[in-house]
Amino acid sequence: MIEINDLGFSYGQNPVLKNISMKLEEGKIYGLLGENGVGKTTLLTLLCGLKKPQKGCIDIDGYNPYDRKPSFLANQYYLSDEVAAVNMKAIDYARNYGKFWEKFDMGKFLEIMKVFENDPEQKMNRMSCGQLKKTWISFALACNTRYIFMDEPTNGLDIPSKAQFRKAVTKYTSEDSTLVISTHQVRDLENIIDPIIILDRQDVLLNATVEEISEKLYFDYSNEKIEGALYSEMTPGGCVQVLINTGSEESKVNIEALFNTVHLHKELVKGMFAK
Amino acid sequence: MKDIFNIRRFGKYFVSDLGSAAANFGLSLLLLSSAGVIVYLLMGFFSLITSGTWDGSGMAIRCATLAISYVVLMISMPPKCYGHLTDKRSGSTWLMIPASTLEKYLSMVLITILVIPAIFFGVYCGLDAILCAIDPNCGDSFFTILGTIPSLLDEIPEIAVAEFVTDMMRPYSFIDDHIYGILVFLLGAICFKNNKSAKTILCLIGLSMGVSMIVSPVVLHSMVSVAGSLEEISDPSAIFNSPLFNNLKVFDTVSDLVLMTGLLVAVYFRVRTLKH
Repeated sequence: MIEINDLGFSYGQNPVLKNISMKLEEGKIYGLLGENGVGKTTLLTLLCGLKKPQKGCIDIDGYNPYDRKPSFLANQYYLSDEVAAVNMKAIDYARNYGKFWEKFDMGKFLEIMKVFENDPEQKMNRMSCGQLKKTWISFALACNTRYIFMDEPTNGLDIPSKAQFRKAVTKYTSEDSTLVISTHQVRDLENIIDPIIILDRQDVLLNATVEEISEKLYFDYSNEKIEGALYSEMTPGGCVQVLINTGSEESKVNIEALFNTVHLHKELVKGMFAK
Repeated sequence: MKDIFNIRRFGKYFVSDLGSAAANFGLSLLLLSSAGVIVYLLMGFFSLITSGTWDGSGMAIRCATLAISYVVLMISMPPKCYGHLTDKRSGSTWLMIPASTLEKYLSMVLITILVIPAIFFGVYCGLDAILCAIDPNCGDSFFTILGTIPSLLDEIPEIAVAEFVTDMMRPYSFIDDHIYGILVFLLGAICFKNNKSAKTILCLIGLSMGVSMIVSPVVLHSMVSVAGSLEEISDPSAIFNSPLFNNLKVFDTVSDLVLMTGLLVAVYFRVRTLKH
């Protein structure tokens, strides 16, 4: 269980996170969404212990991440947006460093590399950006850690690789693992992220499961313009409109439309989902 | 306690770190260790072309090559092995490896101070010994010279003016300079984001200037107090045989120890507080 209490962080005079509080439960794949510069990467780096909170605290299973205790680090993996091009073959890196994560599975690493059509015998500093990213994703999933923090994992991946990524995450993530995926490419991850967290500048606008969202908001895909819609957008296939769900009707959540709705009606949505 | 230091985990980490150091600095180490042979071959070919006879490098050039190679090793090795720690991508990957700060630090210090220099000197002197065995014109190998130093030093007090000077020539006096040099460049490698060696050298120059501005007047004042007047300072025997120089020896040892401890602590705290 991850508990964030009153978290604050700023870069010099520029505050990024302010009074952030939330709880992340086990066994879920959280989608962390937000505009550029709202602090998604900062939050992830604070969660994994790469930065020290300036205010408030983070508690992950009783650990303060910034202590970077080996027993804590062995239970989590952070995949940054920009990955390192190590001067080693992928398989050698996995062999050399995988042993530090107790549940690291070499077979799984090779299997995921195969899913991504990546060559484990290739030197990592000679891989393309996408191949490198896929190697690190394979390594992250093969570590079998309790917590995986991924920052923009689909950036730099080609179209087939994005599908392979979804397949790898759903197939190779164990049930008790918690994934926090920060992304702008919501369509790439639409079907795998649940719950959804939407960060605003210095605030959490939404932290709810897809079920809770569809209980409270209705996503209409008909071509008829509905009066009182919170948000409407013309799409090539028709129209998507977001309404307050008054009749307990079921609908498929469109994350892009949800994101825009939340940004248009911040206080309303915050009030609706306040726990 | 297990989260601070675990011998099994340290062993695993040390082996992995060694592998990473080999990947980052292996080729450079090989080149530097073979510098003696490379220079010997180059000089031999040159003399063959110019005078028609094979004349490889003599003792003076071999010593100079060893000294230059060692200085290059000291300056370039820490940034190549651990300079990536300040890079966001590699640094965060390194920080997230499940080993304690102490284990990572110990491995870093052991590899830079002990393992790589030992490999360098071992290979360098080994190749030199082979060279000297093949070509008698090279003179004695470094292994042979090292063995004769103690007897040479026994003769020195006859000509040297103070124990202080002879002590500086003993092989062990080299060890603290070696540790100090490596630690300075290691600290520079993990503190500066780019131009690590150049910035470290500039800092060293600045610090040396600052320290000498403080120390020089103190030493000069002490010398004057021993020799009586500034004119008499030109007579070294009065100074070298004075208690001042015996105290300088103590001061030198103490300052080296303080400096080394300070650098070791600084490297540890830099590793402990690295953020990305």
